[in-house]
Amino acid sequence: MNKTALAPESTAIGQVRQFVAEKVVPRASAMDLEQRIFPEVFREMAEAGLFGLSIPRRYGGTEADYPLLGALHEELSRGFASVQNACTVFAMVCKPLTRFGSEELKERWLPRIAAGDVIPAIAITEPQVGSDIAKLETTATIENDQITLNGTKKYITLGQVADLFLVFARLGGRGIAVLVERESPGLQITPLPGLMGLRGNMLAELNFENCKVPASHLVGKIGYGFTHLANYALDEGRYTTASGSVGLAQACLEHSLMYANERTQFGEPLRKHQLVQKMLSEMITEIKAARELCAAAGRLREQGDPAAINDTLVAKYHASKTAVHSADHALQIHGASGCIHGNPVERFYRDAKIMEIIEGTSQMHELQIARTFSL
Amino acid sequence: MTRDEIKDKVTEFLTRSMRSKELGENENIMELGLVHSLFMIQLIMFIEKNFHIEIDDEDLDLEQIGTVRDIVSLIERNQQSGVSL
Repeated sequence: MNKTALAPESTAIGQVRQFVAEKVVPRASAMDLEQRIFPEVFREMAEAGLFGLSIPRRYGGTEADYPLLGALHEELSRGFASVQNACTVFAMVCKPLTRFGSEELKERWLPRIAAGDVIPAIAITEPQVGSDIAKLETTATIENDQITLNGTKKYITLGQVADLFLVFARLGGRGIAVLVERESPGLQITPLPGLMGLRGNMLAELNFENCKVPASHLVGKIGYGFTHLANYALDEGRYTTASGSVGLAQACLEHSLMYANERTQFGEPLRKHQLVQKMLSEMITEIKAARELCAAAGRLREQGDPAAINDTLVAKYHASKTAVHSADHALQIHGASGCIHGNPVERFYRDAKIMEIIEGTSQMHELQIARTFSL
Repeated sequence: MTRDEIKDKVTEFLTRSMRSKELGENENIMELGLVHSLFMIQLIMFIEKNFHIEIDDEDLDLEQIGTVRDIVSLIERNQQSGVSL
């Protein structure tokens, strides 16, 4: 792929599918086991333009439109959900930075992120605060054009390797978002291994102890951190996570179909058994519905229709549940052989559950969907 | 677009976004408790899509745009001086 311009949609999807098949799938099991994305995979993803999908071309990105962005995330997740979720993190940093960041920050960081020279991460979650972001406990003070951060961020995806963090904090009761470089004085990073799924995502805990950053690193106005930037980032993350969930569910279906054709029990291939057919039929139907919900959300997002926010919530809610249900069926169809590390189905099962939690749990989605419909 | 046309579009958006009854021009949506957490990004998308302008960040303070009248004034100001999309 060309780094500065994506090919037409069908070509780009085909290219990414081939990239995933050749570069990601053969290494997925090892990356899952070692709990990391290999540096060479990061490099190859950057060369393929995958880190610039949510970055405008004028800043060196590949700038996919929303329908294409969704389709590419589906392809990435079919291979290894951890690399898809890494791209989600890139989008969750770059979208709000593009919309609310100063020209100086955009010119400084976006081209390097698109090129893969800088790995970004977004730091919202804290030990005591998850969904209730208005209650974040990390504090910021500002004096002499310097911001001082104190607090702890937890479960930060890519935190072990990120060069740049978009950190959310409270400044005098108002939300802010600020870019913090890895080497900033007062920032300590501790790896958090042992995640159940998306094990390639290299989570970390960040401790800020009088961590100093220039005030010019603020993204958006003081007071915009929660209402504008965090929601903007989470909305973007929900869309790509929804598409990634479809890809993961599709991978469950493809592996199940293959196994149901190969495996014979009671003198017939599994696919001839009606209860297996029932599971496959449910997967086929739910995946098709989830894909259509993502496509509908993608179209509205591309049009800039405010209804896209609600449709994205609905798409993520349904698609992540579809991934979990499909992974559950895939494991039932595979039986014991699917429960062994090295069989992708075992990884799909663990990865799918995380899809129901990141960028808002299913329960938070239920609440949000109800609220946006004034229930 | 005339002020009345902008006002009609803004009122329609707000009542749709908040699934609310009709809103008066000076009724404050914050005080009425109608604002949900995703409102601000919906508002940004609404303005950028319908009026083809990028609102200056300084103008996107929720406390300053609580009524239909406030939002109409914001759009009018930015149509004159803001960045066209």
